[in-house]
Amino acid sequence: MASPDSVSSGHPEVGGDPAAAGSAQPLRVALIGNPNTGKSTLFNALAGMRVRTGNYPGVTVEQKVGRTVWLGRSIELIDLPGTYSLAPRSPDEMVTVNVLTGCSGEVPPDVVICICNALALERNLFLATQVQEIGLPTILCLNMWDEVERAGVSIDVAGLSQELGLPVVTTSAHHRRGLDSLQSAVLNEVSRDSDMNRVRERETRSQALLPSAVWNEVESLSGWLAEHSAAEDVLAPFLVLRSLLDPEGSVEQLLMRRTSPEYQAQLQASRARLSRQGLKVPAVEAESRYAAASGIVSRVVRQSGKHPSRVTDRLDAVLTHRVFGFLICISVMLLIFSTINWFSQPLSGFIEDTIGAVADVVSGTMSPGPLRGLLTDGVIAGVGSVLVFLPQIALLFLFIALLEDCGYMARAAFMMDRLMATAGLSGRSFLPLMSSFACAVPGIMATRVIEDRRDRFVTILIAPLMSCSARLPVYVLMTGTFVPDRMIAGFLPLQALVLLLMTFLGMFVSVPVAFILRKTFFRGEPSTFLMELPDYRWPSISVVLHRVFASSWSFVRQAGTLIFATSVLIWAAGSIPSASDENYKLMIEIEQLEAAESPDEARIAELSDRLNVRNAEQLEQSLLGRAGHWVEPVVRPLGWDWRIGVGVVASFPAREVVVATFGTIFSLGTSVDENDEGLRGALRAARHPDGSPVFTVPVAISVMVFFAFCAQCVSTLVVIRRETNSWIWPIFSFVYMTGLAWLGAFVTYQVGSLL
Amino acid sequence: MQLAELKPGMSGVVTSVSGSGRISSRLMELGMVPGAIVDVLRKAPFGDPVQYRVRGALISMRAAEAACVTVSALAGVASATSLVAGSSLVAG
Repeated sequence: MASPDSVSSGHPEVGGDPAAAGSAQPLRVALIGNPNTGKSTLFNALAGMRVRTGNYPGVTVEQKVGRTVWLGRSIELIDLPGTYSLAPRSPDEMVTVNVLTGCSGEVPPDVVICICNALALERNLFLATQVQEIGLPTILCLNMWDEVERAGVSIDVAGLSQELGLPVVTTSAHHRRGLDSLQSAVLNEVSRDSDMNRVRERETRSQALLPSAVWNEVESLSGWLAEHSAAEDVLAPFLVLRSLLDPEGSVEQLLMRRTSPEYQAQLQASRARLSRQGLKVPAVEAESRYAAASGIVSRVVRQSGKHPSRVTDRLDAVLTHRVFGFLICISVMLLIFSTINWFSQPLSGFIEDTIGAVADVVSGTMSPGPLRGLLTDGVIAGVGSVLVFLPQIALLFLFIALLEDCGYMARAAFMMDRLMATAGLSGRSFLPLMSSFACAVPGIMATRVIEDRRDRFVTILIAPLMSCSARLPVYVLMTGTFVPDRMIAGFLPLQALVLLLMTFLGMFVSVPVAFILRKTFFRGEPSTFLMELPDYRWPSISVVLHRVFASSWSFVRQAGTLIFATSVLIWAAGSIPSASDENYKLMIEIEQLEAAESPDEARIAELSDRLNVRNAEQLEQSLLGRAGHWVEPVVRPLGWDWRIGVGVVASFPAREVVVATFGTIFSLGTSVDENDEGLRGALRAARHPDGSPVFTVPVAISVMVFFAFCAQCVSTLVVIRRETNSWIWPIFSFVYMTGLAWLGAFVTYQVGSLL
Repeated sequence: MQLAELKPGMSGVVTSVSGSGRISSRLMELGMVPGAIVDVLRKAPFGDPVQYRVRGALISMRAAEAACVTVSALAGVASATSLVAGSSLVAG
C-alpha cells in the first residue's frame, strides 16, 4: 500500500499522463480554506492569468475559475469561498457543498486542496477534517510556511501527514514558494487514486474522528433515505452526516426536498438517540473535532525557544487602542478619501476632456444633423458616462484591497461596529457607506466585504442615500441662485449651512430606512459581529492588483453596457421627434461664421439666441418634453412646473444632467454649468404663464430635497442589479427612493410655503 | 460566569456554549468548545465589541454573542498563550 506521507517532503515523482495534456477533460481542482489563509494569493499564483469570474447561479457568491497547465496536464482550478466549516445555513453557504459533492448536478472536483494557515493549525484542522469526510482525494496545504519558520515554531510535516492520512505540502504563496510541490502532489494524488486500498483507507481514517454512534446513525438514516428516495441516486454518506449534524441547515432542507418532509422526524429521532448517549448535536461535532485537533497539534507542533512577542499584538495595542486606534482609523479613512478625491478628479476630468475632444473631432468632420447628434451627444457621451467612474472605482478598490490584505479592514470594522449597530448594521458596512459619499457605484461594489447577506443588502439599499458628488452641482446651483447670501448669527454663511444640511440629509434619513428594512424585508436574527481579526501582514501585490483590475473590468463589462444604453435612450427621447432643418441651418450658419477670419460676434450671438429658443421648443416637443408635461400633475404639489419635471426625467441617467437640461429648457444652450451666471439669471427670471416666478425659495429647496433622496442615477441601479443578482432590488430602490424624494419635496414645499 | 464579565487582561476556560442557533454553532466552529482557553484582549472604542484570543486566533464579538459562552476565570493576567499548541485544557 502506498505510504501517504511520501509527498510530505521533497519532490515526489510526477504523476499524470503527459499525453493527456490539452485533452478535452481538464483535471478539476478545488481550493478550499478558512478566510485569512492566503487562499486568494495561492489561487492567483496557481491559476496564472486565465481567470474567469462571475456569480454562482442564483446567489451573490463570486465564482472564480482559472484554467492553466501543470506539468503538461490541463487544469481547471476552482476557488471556493473562504469558510470556517461545511455547515451551510443559506444558499450562499451551500455553494461550497454543492461544488464539492456535485449535488447541484455538476461533476465533483477530482482533487481538493485544503489550504491552512500553518500558524493557526488547530482551528484550521476543523475544516480540514470535515473536507476529508467528503471522500475526495484531498491535499492539505500548510500555507504561510515562512511565517512558521520565523515564529520559531516547528511542525512535523511527515507526522501530520501520517496522523491525518493525507499528503501534506508546505507553501509560502506570497513568495511563490512550494507551488511546484503542490502541483506535483495534486497530479500524484490523481494517478494513485484508482488504488482501492487507498480509497478504503481514506474512509476508515476520516470515520475514526467522530464517535462511532454518529456513524451508526448515518448508516440507519442512509437506509431510510434509500427506501424513500424517488430517484435511484445513492446519497453520499457525507451529505447524510451533514444533515444529521446541522439542525435546520441547508443540507437537511435539501434531503427533505429530495425525499419527503418525514425525513426531519427521522433526523430528530437520531439526534435524540445521540443525546441520550451524551452526544448533543451540534456540540458533539465541534467537541470531537477540536479534541482530535488538539491531540494532533500537541504531537506534531513544537515551539522552540521562548515564545516570541507577536507583531500583531504589538500593532494592535496601538491600532485598536480605544482612543488612539479610533483617531488613527478616522485619519486613515479621511486620508483615503481625500487621496481618492485628489487623484480621481483630474483623472475623471482627463477622461471627460478626452471624450469632449473626440466629440469635437467628430463634429468637425460632419455637418450638423441627426446622425452627428446621435454620435456626439448620444454614443460618445454615453461612453464617457461609463468611463468617468473608472478612476474612482479603481482607486477605491486599490485601498480596499490594501486594507483587507494587510489585516486592517477587520480592525476598522471592529472599531466602527458600535456606531453602525445604531442603524442595525455591523462595522463591515462602514467603509461601503463612507465610500458612497463620493459615489454610490464603488460604494455598492465595496459591500462585497460584508459577509452577512441581510446586512449586505440593507447596506446596498441605503448606500445611494449618502450624498454623492453628482448631487453637488444641483445643490450649488439651487443654493447659489435662491438662498440669500447672508450670515446667520453674524458669522455662519446661510448658503454654506444649507449646503452642509443637504449633504448630511440623506445620511440622517438612512438610519430609520435601514431600521425599517431590517424590520420588514430583512427580518431575522439581529446582525452579528462574530469575526476573526487576521494577523497583520504585508499586502500581496498580485492580490491587490487583481482586485483592482477585476472590479474595474466587471463594472465596464457588466454595468457599462446598460449605463451606455440608457444614456443613448434618454438622449434619443430628448431628440425625437428630431429637430427641424431650420435648427441645423442655424447651426451650420453659426459654425461658418465662427470659422471665418474675423467672426461677426453680434451676428453669432443673435443666431445663438434664436437657436437656443428653437432648441428649447424642440425639447418641449420631444418625448422627454411630453414626459415633463405628463408628470406635471404629479410634481404640481411639489411646487414644480413641467420644465422642472423635464429636468428630473432627463436626469434619470445621472443627477447632474439636470443642470444642462435646465440650460436647454430655459433657453441657454446645453453648455452651462452650475456656476453659470446666465443660467442663474434665467432661473430667477423664469415665469409661469400667469407671471409668477417658477422658482421661489421653497421650490428651490424642494428640488434639492428631491435630488437628495431620489434614485436618478442609472449607474447605481445597474450596479445594484449586478451586486444583488436580481432586478427586484434596483426596482425596489428606485420605487422607495422616488417615493421618499417626492414625500420629502412635498413636505418641504408645503411647509416652506406656509412660513 | 459569563465570558462578557471578564475584563480585558483576564483569561478564562470555556465551560459551556449555550443556545442552538447560528451564533453558538459559529462560536463552536471557531474553537469555543468546553476546555478552550479564552484571553480577553481589549474593547473597541465604544466599549463593544471585544477582542478575544482563542486557539491562537483573534476573534471579535459583541456582548450579545459573548453572552452564549460561560467560562470559569483563570487566575492571573492573560497568559502569553502559545501560538499553536497547548491552548486548550481538558475540562475536568
